[in-house]
Amino acid sequence: MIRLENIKKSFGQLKAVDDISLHIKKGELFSFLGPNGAGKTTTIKMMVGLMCPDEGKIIIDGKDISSDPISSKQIIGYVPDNAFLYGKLTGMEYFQVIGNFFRMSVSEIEERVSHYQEVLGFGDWLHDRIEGYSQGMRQRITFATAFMHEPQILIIDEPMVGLDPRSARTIKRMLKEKSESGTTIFLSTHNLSVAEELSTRIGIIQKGKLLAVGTMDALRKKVTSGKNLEDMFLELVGDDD
Amino acid sequence: MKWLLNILKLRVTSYLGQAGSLFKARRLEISVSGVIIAGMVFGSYFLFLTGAQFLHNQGEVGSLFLDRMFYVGWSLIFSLLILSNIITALTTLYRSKEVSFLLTMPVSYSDIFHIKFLENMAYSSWALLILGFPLTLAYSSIKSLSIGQMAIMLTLGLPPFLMIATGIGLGFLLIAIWLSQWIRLRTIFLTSVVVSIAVFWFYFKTGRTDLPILGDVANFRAVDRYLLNLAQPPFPLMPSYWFSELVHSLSEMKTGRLLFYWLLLATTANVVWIGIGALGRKLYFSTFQIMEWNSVNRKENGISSLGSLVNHLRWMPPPGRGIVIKDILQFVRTPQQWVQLLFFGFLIGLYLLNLTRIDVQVNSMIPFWRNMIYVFNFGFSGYILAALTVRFVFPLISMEGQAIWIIRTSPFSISRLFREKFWMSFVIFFPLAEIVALVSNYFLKQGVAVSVISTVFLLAMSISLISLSLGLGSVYAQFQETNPMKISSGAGGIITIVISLFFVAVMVASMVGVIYMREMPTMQNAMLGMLTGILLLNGLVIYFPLKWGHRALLRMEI
Repeated sequence: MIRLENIKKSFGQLKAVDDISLHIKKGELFSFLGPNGAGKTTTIKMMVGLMCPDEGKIIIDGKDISSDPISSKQIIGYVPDNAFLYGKLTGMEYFQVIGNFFRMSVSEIEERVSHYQEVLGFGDWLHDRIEGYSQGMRQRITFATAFMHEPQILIIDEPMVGLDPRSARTIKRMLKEKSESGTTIFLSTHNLSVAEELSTRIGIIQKGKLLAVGTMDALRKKVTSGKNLEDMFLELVGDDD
Repeated sequence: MKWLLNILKLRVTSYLGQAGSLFKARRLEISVSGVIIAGMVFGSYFLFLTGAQFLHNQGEVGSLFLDRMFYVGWSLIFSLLILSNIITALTTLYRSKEVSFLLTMPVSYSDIFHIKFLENMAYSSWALLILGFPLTLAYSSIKSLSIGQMAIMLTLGLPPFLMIATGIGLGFLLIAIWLSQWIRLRTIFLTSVVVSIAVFWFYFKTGRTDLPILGDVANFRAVDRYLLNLAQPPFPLMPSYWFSELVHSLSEMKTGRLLFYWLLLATTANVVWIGIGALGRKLYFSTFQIMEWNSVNRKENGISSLGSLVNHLRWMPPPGRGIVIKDILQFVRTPQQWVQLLFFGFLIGLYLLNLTRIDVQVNSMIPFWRNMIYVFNFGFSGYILAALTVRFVFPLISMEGQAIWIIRTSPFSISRLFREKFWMSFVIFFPLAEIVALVSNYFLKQGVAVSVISTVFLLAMSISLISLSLGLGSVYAQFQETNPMKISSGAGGIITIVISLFFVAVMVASMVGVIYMREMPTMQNAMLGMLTGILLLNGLVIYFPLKWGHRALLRMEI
């Protein structure tokens, strides 16, 4: 479903992503781990079309995102790490606008909004302007709009930022359900417990290079110390970083 | 006060530091902008000087005209300064992140208000002074003022003049926001504009008939009355009149009069400073809270207002509908945007109102003057269009702000985004410019042929100017800036307005050529050649900026 072929990205002298290749199958929930500045967000931005790789290809559902960005974006739902939304719009209006961007009908949008209103607990504040929302409210809105057009692929950068424990649990449950129903999920996170709990496979990146990829069991075999993901992660990336 | 001085010092140091690093990073862009601004100032100076010399050489009547024009010029600047202060203050006093920070510091609200007052005065004045300086320098040089005298006049006269305009603007805004607890801010601004137009209408209706003589110079009584009126300032209580009197007093070396008008300016500025300080002490923090409350608790009757907008635009295919709905809602909910459009409407309304008072006997005029009036009027429509497009179309891409990631990850192309924004701007601004041209043509009693020609030229100009602003607005996009006024008055905006004004001038000159050649059988080929040239020019102005803008947005990495 997602194929990264030898992608490279530099900013001046800094190699942010250095020759990464990955293949993520349909229905997989892939977690991308790495310390700050490892290249996670840059990789994600290239996958959603916000940046172009200097070298290599990103294939989404068989199509190169550089040559056919529109059909690739149509099947992707993206949740950035720090989502800036249209502050002057209300949550309800934001849903209508994004739904229209993804060519959904008005009735479809209303039906999905009412569904997510129930699941994610949107209150009356959906008719207030977004500029007055807390970070958690914004994050929930961002998740709902990413899910709304029922994408085949979800790309999520730091999913739990700003969420209260209840919303975080709901989101985790929803991600699990979506993955089980065949949605491919690419998740970048600092939260090792989330990765450990949800992922079918994990990739660890540092200084732009992919250090290890595999299931939890496969990763355990690669390291000498500890059994949990935190120990494995620290051994692979080094304690001092 | 010590705290105030400290923060002012800090602010100046910080701006100098920022300017230094900005210059290092964008040396070429800033140099080009500097050259363009200098060119504008010198160009305007020579333009004003030529006009002033022409009037000055016409004897006593010319001098009267010249004095009146200088006074009217500064009256216009004074009015624009007040408007500019109101719009800028919405950001400086209420939306700036620095205000939230300063409010947590152990300093009084009054001190914060005063520092913001000065900041606002600087922000909202510098661009207008680009117009004021050349006007004053040209007028002063005609009045034989030395460089030293000019420097004294500007140093002493300008600060109190600016302070009064800022005080009036901020005072109005404080009261308007305080009233917005009970009446919507939009309603207050709209009512103010309507009341202002009504006051001006009443003034024009009941005031002296200023221009009864065009085409009827044989009526000596009318000429006498006109000249008498011309020598009288219509608003002697306005600071712009006191300011212009500084120049007169200096040129005539009347020290007592000079001192009188300077003291009038200085004491009024002092009263304004004290008065606005008291008002700020009383209202600033409470109005800040009102604005915060408005942004957090603003219910928009979401379903009903959005529902009706969606229903009205149901015929539009996606994603165009989404883009248009978003842009319309953002526009009407950003006061800096609609307040300025309202004031543009106010100025255009005044212009048209003024035209209704001209009793022009066009048929008795020689063709030269008839065409001159028409050309000036068409040029005015073109300049309105240029100003509107640079002010409102240029920031359209930047106004996506940090939410640009939404557009870039949505399943439609950049070309589609440009197309939607282009048509949305076109259906708003082309009819506006067209109304000004047609209404003024009607009052100036122009024929059908001239109206048709102006419609065609305005159509071409609308398409070209919108493309130019949209394209260059994308090339010079500032996604971090939330104030649309700052976006359009930045380096990119200045480059765009200069190109737009130059383009309008070329189009007006070409149209004059076409009108003349149309009536000469021997010039038909030349006219065809000129029309082809106009088409080509418009093609270039449409194609290249859009191409550059498209490329810039496509290459932009977020």
